[in-house]
Amino acid sequence: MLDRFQRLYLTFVEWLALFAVGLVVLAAALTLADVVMRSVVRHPLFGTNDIIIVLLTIGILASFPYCTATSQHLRVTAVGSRLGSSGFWLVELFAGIAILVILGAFVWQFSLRAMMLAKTGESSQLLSIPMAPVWWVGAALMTAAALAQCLLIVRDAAALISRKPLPPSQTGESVA
Amino acid sequence: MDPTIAVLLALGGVFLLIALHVPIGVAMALVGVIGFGLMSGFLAAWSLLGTEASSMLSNVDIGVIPLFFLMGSFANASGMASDLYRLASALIGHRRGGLAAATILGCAAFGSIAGSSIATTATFGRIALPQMRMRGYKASLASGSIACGGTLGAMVPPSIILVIYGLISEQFILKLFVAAVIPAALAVVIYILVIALVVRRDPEAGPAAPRVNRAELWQAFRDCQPAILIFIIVSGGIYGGVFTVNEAASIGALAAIGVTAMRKRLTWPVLRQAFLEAAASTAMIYMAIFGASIMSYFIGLTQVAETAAAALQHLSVPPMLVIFLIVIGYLVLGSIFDETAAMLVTLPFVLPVIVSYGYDPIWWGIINLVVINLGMIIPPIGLNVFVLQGLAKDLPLSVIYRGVTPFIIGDLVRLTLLILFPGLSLWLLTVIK
Repeated sequence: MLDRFQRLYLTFVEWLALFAVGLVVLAAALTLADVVMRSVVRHPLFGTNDIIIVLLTIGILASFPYCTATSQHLRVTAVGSRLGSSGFWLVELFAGIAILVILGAFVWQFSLRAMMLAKTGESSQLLSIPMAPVWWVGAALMTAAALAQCLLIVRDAAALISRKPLPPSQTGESVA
Repeated sequence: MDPTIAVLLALGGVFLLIALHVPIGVAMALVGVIGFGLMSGFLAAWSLLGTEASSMLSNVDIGVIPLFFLMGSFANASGMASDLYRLASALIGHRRGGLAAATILGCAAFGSIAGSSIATTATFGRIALPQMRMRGYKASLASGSIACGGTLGAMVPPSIILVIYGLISEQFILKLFVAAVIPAALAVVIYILVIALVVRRDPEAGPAAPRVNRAELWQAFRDCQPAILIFIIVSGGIYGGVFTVNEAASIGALAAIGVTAMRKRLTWPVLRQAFLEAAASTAMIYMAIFGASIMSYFIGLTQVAETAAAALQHLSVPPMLVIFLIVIGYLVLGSIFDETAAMLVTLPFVLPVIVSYGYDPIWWGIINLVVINLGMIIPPIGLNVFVLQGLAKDLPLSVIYRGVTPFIIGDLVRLTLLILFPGLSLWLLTVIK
């Protein structure tokens, strides 16, 4: 049951990641259009930067759930593999909880930020795009990342209890 | 608590958390929040996560990292890396050690349209290694040239490591790219000299391949035109002042996707793979940047870096000695963690010391880049070596490390030159403004 949910969730965060990079490509296309208009017609597109920043903010934050679900963080796992399988899963569990704390804090802070922006009615400089919804989306995306991390924690806890052997990447079978 | 002790404990805490598998960004964010919280209250400390992230994300340059990743992925998928290698081989492959030198040139050219060391090593490991082995090259020279050539992926601008450094240290990314040009060219020259010396000592290490005819050379050149065009757009646009770095990255990424589509290689699996890789790498790097930014805030509050700088100046320690000690420290730390982690964790502490001695932060960015690249090939965590070994499982690590040893010596010479003569990095900045 949990396995099935994890697979479904991975598919969801994969689509989210594809959407995220799609937004980045859209921002690139807008930039290109602005450059062309600026250099050919000498008339830059009005408010491009406002849209690009919104697209990039959501695009970057939407990448977090996939990175989290696939454990592709910038980290060093040389020590854990020397502690045996139980030691390895214990260390993984600890690291997983640390990641969850930070992701949870991001959700909390982005929500506070969204509430504050909604109260002050802050919007972008040229196009007056309201910024509160952007940070609500940011908080939702970080919630998705935190949920992915919860699933990993459950997996690591199960591995620790069942004394699962070290994954191949930690036994030298695959280093690339 | 004394601020110096607080910072030392914080640094120790970060390294402990990293050793316990906590991601580098998360470790720095946690320690930064705890340190800041102890000094100024935890409510304010947790709010750093929101304020630092939003201030980073309000910068239009944030798109540069995913865009350079996309450009590299599609440049690879479209076959531009093999085109560049074929052209370089056609030009110099008929000389002794020529294919190894062609690998260096190919990696440097690919580095100008990609920005990652590992991606360049993996790409050329697939393209150049079988060619060199087929031509009877010794495995040590073949693998050594690819592992070291791979570092040019990050050394030749645009470089993702320099973008990260620029975002954390608040330096202009464009200036960092300009400053990296001569050190990157120096790397190419030194690597080719190393290959020449190796084949001079052992001519069997890199036998000459047959010379290609003029028609084949012309064809190789024609195949390279899209890569050359992207290079001209990205580098010419940036250095010529036509585009900002973000605009060049946008245009370069779209051009690379366009070339992949025109060559009918833009399939769903290719697109999916490139997008997922870009998403994962982007989030991974941004988590590290957010963490470093929070840690910087805490260290800035303690003013320990300024105190340390003043103390070092009071002791009359020669600045060059301090620089060399820090670089040696990075290399030692890199053997336990890795050099990128060492840079990210220590930059908030080290940069003020460097600046207090009157050194340019742009120059320090280049030194960091060279040290990080050196870390990609030196044991025990030589990532490029591991990537190559993953691709050619019959190659023992000992053979690859034997192959990279002369290049490491070359890199140490280059690092020393760049430290002793900052003008090698900074001179071009006085020309291109």
